[in-house]
Amino acid sequence: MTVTTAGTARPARSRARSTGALAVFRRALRSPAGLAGFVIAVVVVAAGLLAPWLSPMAPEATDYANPLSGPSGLHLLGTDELGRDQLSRVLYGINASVLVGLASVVLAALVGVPLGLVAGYFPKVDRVISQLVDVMLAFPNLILAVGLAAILGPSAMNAAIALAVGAVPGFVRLIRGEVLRLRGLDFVSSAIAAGNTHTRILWRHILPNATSTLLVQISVAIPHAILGEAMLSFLGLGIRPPTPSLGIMLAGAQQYIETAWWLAVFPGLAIVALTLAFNLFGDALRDALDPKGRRR
Amino acid sequence: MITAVLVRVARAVLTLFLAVIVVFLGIRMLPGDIAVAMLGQEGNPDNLAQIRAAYGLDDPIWVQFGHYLGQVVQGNLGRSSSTGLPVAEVIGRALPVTLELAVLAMIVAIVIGVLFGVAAATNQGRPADWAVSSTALFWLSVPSFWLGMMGILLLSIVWPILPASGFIPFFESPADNLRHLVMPAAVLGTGFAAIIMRQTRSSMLDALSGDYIRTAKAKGLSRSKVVFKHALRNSLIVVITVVGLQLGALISGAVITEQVFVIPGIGKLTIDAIFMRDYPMIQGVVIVVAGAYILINLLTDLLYTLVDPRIRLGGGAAS
Repeated sequence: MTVTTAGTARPARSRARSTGALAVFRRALRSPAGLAGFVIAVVVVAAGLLAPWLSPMAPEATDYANPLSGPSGLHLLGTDELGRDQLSRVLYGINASVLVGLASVVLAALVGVPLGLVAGYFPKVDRVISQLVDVMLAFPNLILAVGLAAILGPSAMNAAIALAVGAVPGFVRLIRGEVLRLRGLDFVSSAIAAGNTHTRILWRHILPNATSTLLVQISVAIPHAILGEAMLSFLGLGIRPPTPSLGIMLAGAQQYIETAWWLAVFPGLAIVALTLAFNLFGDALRDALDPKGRRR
Repeated sequence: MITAVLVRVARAVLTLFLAVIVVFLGIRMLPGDIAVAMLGQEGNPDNLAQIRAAYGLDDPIWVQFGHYLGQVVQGNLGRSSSTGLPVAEVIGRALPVTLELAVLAMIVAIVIGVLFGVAAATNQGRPADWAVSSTALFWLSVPSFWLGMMGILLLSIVWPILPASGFIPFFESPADNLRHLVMPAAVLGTGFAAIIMRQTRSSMLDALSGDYIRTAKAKGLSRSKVVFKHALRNSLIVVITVVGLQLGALISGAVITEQVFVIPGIGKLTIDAIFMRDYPMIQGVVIVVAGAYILINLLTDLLYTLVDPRIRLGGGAAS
């Protein structure tokens, strides 16, 4: 679904560029923006995953003496209406966002990649799969996720499933395109001529050559999923309270926006840091893979 | 050409038909049926049976579907199970609100996106390009509902110049209507402006490196003529596609923007219906949204052909 292709300035490069996943990854890290994105992503994700050790207080612990108090030495990011420490809740919220985001992307790839492989390789099956993908694309992504989340009921797992379903068509289309491109090439033709089974050709010859493209798609899908999770939770269709979630925190903050600005500001900044980091790195990956990148 | 258009239209209708099936089955996969949703798990069995009979829930599923499809084709989407009002009528009232929001947001997005995209492309590699490109990337990473909350915080509370929420119909008071929609439209539109900007920049860069641009420059045309009459015109094909594709995402964005600014459009209707477990309403809204989305995609496809005579429908569908 993503159609953006612009990239950062890149010096002219004359030698042939390897498109192996590792080479692309290294090249992405060489651009300042890509490196910055990677470092921020690692730091923020680590902060989230280490929440149980890093947070100063338990996320559910209430401090009734200090409800709705602003940032202070005691509570660095202030407290909410129940006096819960917001820094701790933001850290746990990042944790939840990252886990749901990654889970949904992994799920989407696990379903989308095999479907894409089959669709690109077997024209007859392609008709059915492509029509199914068209039907899925008939629902705007968020509407699909909202509808599914409503059917499945709100929970972190169901939010991941709902977001994954919306991301599957992207993977199917991408991998299908790669298969169509690759199967006309000589090495695939010779593998077919050598009598390899279809499964072996798809897994051993075609898929390994599509890994860099897949890597880019994953890097694009992660920030989407993180934003999606935040939206679902904001609407009350994602993670259930009292589990801390950035989206739920923001939904709650609406009520106190006139008096407690810190409740609205910090969870949002955490989401922005996460998505911006992944977007920066994803852009750098795409530039590193795109042969046109040389001209930009 | 005409057959190709008809094929596209037929495919769109087929997709819509399949979408209706998906929605119909999806709603029936919900835990508990409409009767339970209306009365609760402990509802009187007689009353439950009465509602099931009224909604035809005792019929086999294909009979129910045939009946439902017949009604949908006639424009009858059933009655809301929470208010009893006809679903089509309620949607008809909410749709113009969302459309106004979406159109205003799109205007914001296109104006900002194309202008800054051109500015970035013509200054490629200079600080201006860098500034515009990084702002766009930043904007893409900001959740629209948070942007809305920050807008309310800054423009309605810290420096109160705009209303924080609510909606006034245009025909009641155009000025008030716009005052209420300025912030939501800006919030919704700037996110898409970032996408359009990036696309405009990259297709402008492609266009500017074309031979015909060198020719135009060589024959002494002014810089602005080269940029706007030659390069931009050719870049617009891609931009139109992006705008078309983004209209669907714009509907999604409207759902959440309406929620933040308490605007009585389709988005708020959807979310409210979900929490009221108003299944006929959810069903109706999703079908209308999917239908609108399919129609928009179809029109984008067809518009594409009109703008670029090189593209002919039907051919090159391989990838």
